[in-house]
Amino acid sequence: MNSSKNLLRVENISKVFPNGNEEKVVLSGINIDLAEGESIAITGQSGCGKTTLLLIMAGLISPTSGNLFLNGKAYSETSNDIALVLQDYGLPPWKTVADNIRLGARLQKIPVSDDELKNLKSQLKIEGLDHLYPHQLSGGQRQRVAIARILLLKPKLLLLDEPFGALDALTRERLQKLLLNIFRRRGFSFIIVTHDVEEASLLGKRIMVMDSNGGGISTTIDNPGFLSEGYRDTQECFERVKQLREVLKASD
Amino acid sequence: MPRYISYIVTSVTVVLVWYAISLQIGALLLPDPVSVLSLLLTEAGSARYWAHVGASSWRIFAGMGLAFIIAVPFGLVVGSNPKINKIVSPFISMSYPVPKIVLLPIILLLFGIGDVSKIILIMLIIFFQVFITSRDAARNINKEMILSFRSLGGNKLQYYQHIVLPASLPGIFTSMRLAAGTAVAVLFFVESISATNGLGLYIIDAWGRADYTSMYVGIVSMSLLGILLYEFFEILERKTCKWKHTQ
Repeated sequence: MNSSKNLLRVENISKVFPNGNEEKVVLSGINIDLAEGESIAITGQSGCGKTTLLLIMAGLISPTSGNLFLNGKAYSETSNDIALVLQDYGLPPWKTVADNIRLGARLQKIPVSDDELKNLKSQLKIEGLDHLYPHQLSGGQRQRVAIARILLLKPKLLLLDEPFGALDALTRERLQKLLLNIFRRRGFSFIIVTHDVEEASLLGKRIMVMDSNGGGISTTIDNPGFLSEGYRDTQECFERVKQLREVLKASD
Repeated sequence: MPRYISYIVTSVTVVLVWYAISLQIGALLLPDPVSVLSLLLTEAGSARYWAHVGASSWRIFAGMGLAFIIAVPFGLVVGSNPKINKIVSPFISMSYPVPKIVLLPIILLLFGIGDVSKIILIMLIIFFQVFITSRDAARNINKEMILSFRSLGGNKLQYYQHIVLPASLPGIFTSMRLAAGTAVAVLFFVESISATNGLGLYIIDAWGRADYTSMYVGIVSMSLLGILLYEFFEILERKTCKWKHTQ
């Protein structure tokens, strides 16, 4: 990997939570290098520390030890270059779609033109929903609004925590395609955490599997063909899913 | 059914039931609604009656307003800061169950029999209800929403403005609506014990003179004050929490 293009470096991160009189090691010795325009899918069984790792990378919780670097600069708190999308969308229910989309830009005082907003809504197919509240939307529409809110901030790194986990299979497939389309066009980097091995195979240029008993990354698999047309239906994708299942079983 | 129609239907039902009971138990104990409402209309033309209404309204609005202004920000700050909550909560748990009404003699000794003592007692009683609701609403905000907001770059002040306050408003207004009934009851109690004006005094004075029609005029007036307060907070909630009222 070309070091000048490195966007994120996660260096020897560990996280220990107090557990009664004992300590529970959730993460240990995690190292990740993410290049600009690259995607990584992190998978593993429930409770293996995937979300904790993502929140540490987002600067929302502090690691017990280790360092984080963004564009070569150490950071320990949230950064405007990093955006986070969560499974339950994080949309305040008292804000309309229009207000929710503009929320991040307002907080960061980023000017947004009407044209930019119009294009983004058209790209994400959420036109005509401005006056509605989140509870009036479908799960897929809510996640599109959450993505629109993030894209308006033009982050360099997008962190996604099981973003499509609560959606039905068809909507999930559509949103996975949408994410890849936007990724191709905009060229940001993203890290997605998912327990779904198929989703990991479809969205990650590299796929990292975490140990189930609170440790580190047990396996990293290169997945260079993930962006090719119709990858979902290829033998390569099928083999990748099979390989991931076997790795996960072995790490249990 | 539109709200005003349900109000008319309820009012007519109450008047009819009232009339039926009055016929059963006799006008001496329960004057019929027509006599009470016609005396109320006559009283509405007198400055003396409005002086009583004005005094009671001022006390109740000031007491509830003060409770709201102090309890809401305090509750929201305590609820969204676990460390502060840990320090404050034991004091609240210890002082909330104490019936504040028993403090009336002390409050009268300290502040006299004027408006201040009545406002302070109403404020003191309402404060705890509103504080606890605000604190719990702030404490129960969805963790993912907090993380999501922080990741958007929101600072502490913006967090209160965009997340904590709007998330807590429905609960706060519910507690204010419930507090309206309590405030009217407290107001009646303090005005009937030590006051030179107010609807509580109006009722007790009429009762003492065995003028039951006037007494019921006072009771109806005080009830209307409670209903108006309840409706005021209902309307405020509908205006500020539109999202709660959309399908």
